[in-house]
Amino acid sequence: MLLETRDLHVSYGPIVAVRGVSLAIPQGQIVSIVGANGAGKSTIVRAISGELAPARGEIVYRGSTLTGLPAFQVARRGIVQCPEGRRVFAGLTVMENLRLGAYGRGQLAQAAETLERIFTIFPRLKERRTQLAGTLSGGEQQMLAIGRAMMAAPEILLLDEPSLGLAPILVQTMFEAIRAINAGGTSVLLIEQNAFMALNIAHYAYVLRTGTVVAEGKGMDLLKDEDTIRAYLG
Amino acid sequence: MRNALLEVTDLSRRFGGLTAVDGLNFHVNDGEIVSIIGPNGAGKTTAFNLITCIYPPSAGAISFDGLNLVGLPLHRIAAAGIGRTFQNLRVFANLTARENILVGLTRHARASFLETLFHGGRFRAEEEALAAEADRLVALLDLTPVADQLVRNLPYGDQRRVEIARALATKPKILLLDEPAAGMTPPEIEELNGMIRRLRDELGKTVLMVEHHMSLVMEISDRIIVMDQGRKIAEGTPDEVRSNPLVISAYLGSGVV
Amino acid sequence: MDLLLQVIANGLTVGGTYALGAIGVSLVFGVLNIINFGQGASYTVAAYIAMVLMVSAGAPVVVAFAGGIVAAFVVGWIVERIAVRPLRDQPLLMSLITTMGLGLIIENLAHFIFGPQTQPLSPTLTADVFQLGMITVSTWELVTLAVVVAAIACLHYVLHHTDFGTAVRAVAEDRRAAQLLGIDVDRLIVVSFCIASAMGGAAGVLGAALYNSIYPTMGSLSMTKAFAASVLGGMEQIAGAIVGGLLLGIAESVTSVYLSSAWRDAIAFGLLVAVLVVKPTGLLGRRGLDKVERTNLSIFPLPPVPKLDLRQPLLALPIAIAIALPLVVTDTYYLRILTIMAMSGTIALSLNLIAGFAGLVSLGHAAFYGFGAYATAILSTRYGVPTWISMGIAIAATGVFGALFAWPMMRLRGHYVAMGTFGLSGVVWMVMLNWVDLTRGPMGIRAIPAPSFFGSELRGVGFYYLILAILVISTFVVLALLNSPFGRALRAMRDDELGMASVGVDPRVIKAKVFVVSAAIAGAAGAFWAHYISFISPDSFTPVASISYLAMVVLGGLGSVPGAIFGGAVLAALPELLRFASEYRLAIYGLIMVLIILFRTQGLLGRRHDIPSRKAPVARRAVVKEVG
Repeated sequence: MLLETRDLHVSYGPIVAVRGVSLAIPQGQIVSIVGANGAGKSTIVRAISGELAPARGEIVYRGSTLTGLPAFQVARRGIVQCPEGRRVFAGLTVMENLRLGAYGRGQLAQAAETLERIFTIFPRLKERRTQLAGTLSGGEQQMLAIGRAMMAAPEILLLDEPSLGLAPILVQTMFEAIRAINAGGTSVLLIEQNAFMALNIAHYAYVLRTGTVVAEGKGMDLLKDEDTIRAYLG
Repeated sequence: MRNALLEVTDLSRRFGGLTAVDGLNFHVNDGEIVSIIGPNGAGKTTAFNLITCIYPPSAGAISFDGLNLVGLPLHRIAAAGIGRTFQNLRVFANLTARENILVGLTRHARASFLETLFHGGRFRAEEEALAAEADRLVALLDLTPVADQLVRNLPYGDQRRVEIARALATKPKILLLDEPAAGMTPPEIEELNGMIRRLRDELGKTVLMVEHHMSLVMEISDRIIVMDQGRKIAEGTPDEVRSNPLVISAYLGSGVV
Repeated sequence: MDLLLQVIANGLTVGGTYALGAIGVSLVFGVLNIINFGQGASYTVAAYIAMVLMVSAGAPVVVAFAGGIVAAFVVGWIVERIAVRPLRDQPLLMSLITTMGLGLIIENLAHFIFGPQTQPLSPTLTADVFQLGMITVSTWELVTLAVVVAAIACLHYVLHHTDFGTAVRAVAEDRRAAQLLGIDVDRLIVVSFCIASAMGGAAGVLGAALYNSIYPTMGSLSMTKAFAASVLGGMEQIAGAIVGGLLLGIAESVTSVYLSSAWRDAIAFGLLVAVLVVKPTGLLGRRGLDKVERTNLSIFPLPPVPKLDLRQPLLALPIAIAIALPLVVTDTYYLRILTIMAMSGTIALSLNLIAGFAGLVSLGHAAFYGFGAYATAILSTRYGVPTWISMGIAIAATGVFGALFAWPMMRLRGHYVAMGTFGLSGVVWMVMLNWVDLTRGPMGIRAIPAPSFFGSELRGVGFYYLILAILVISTFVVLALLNSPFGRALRAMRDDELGMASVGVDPRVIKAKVFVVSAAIAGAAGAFWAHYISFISPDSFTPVASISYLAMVVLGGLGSVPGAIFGGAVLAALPELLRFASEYRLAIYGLIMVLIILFRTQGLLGRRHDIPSRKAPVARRAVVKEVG
């Protein structure tokens, strides 16, 4: 297994956000976590990235524990998070944003090659490479955020709500891009509220509710499971 | 049909290039429980913030009980009769639950500066009256066992109820609840359900809420407004909304791969 | 016309050094979102090291200057590691005081090693004068301009054309996103801090060369100019800092030639306040104030507010002891220390209302205290108003002044409040210093009469009881207010202003009231001081004095009523008790401040907060701000 969480518990002060979540991300797969707002999805991702300390449990990457590593060290080991809300560096150009992805992980040597790949997946970014990131549309910013994370040549890409606030047509593009990234050999952990798309694309998926996994299975199986859909929609 | 207590007309708000709320129209009648649902980023909280004047709309009108709310400063909203809670909890963490409620009652305090300074008779009588009112709200929201604890040490569900009690303390006509069930456990949500009903049935409050917990929304709402990408895409009773294909696709994803 | 050109040319050179300093301030603010009050130390250290290299080691000018700048770089590293990094997740107030404390220590060491006198940077330093068209310039002016241009060009190149610089800008924008890409944010921050400090160092050596003079407190004044220039340009804008620095230099130059050289130093403060009132984001500021973080004081739980009830031992016992003390302490010197302790306690108590409860970082308290002192002094010496009446008028007038002072602060938040109050305090100080007709300027006001009590003039013990009465009454007023709806709103405002507004309480009204009460109490202490000491001068009411009052509140424990009084009393007694170490006095004082904040951030009587420190295993983890 590439990455695992074992009995992960995370609290914000007195508030327990994640209670006992165990997930596994096999090499080369797309794994989705779906669930309503506040179910604890982002918390899991932030704990994996080393931004939050687990109250209990362990995060294991290639057989060794990540617990206790600072966030930038986790990223340097190849677990790169593309955070919710894009968070591109608005005052930097598209190229500067992209280059930083490679700079942080020390991947500048391979940068040109990776860049070509990213421009193939997101041709829009190539057109806009000298523009300030802040002037991009929401969809373009999301592409940039993913592209920037890809520049770090991640083993695992953690995507937190990549479809948030995007027009349906762009949501489609974004998911196709995620597929393409995965096809290139990068494993993906995808956090989504847009359950239909997330389940559709995933090899394996977990349904989260108030901090615990309430269902898991192959993405397509969950999608066909009427009960899950109903529980999820209410 | 009863008179609309709150009426929102052609409301829009842009942030930079993003249109968060786009030509929104809806109304809430006196005594109704209305829910706004929709995917993340649909503009629900922005709509709340516009109604409570946290920022001004780019276009459109909001009228409440015959009063035009656009351009009012935030602190006048409570005086107009609107109480609200916040998605990310804006309780006073370093005050006790009871003190939080007392701050909500501040605007009813009348003692002058000098009376306050000398803790005169009128001041003391007023403090007693406020304390009694706070006790009543503490009891109403089942906060009695935790009333004198610092709010920062309370569990999430209790903090949510403290915030609702604080909003009620201003004696609002309408209560705007922004994701009141977020972070609550299922039994807590069940209690919340009963509580919101009591607010309407016993205290005559009108309730407008943004909520993601569908079971709560479906059970409690008289009417549901569904938003997506800043617009209202559907409106109706829980049954109507449940079977609306547009709504299903907004929640499950609108594209089909 | 010739004169104007000449004046502008001179202004540009001086402005260039301000621009360097301002770049340092803006760089630190942009990257870290804090204000480095230790920046003055960089100037001082750089200048003295350059002097030592030139005079003692006989090094060439270029080497000496480079050595000075390197020394400033090292100072930056020390300040960041000791005074900034351990407090990164703490309220900005904390690093403000530790950086200032560290600056104080370094400045005091310079004072101790090189003496307090003004001395030449090098006795052999000469300057040729050139005629350039209609204007005359000296070598040093040309060198200064050249270095300023070169430094700005270098910084621009690094920030905009290297990966390192891009990363620095990224960290400034979004620390979280940067670390998620594997960028070592801590390292970038310390390097930026060092570069900023080196910029200050460059300004220090150039300024020293321009006037060929150095003195231990040179850094403090230059730092003030750098703050003003930075705010003028928009705080986090490097380009703004340059424009702000040059404008300030020219404005000063024009003022001193066409108006009066006495008001020259007032320009910085005046511009600082004016720009915050008119356009708080500065001339080139683009972002709204929304981005400015709140003073996140709310991570500290407030200590319980004592009830207003004389029967409680917490209230009755200290009062009884204080009343009885003169029976034991009969020595005039110690009685004097007790009197000063009570007075400082009063001032800290009043500032605690603004800083501890309202959560506003006020660096302007000396203005209130000084206003009260000057008001009663002027009324009683010049207009012969009876002392008790003049004191009463002074207290009321200071209250009104507090409301006026608060008005421009209403729109500001966080650091901008700190800068605004600092500037206002500076303006008041400059008025005391320069409105000679009214205040007698730097000479101060002498022979302020003592009040009489039943026909006999107050002396030693009498004054002690007077300030004790002021302290006790002020404490009662503060407690009465805190135990009222107003007090609850005040405490609530510190936690969440928006939440408070949502229940119909206007935060501006609360702020205005709190400023009035706080100013009036400080004014009472000031009025007392004037009559007690019988001589006042502007020296006691500098913006730096304001910071030391803030330190008293923080050390006592923000939001703790007994804490503030205790902190005020202890810190006031400290310099007196440290008199044996006269030379090191201020350094020890600074050291104590730094140590207390580093090891007991909540203050002596404050309550501990529950956010893990960076030393804990969860060290580098994000501090939880919002859930969801």
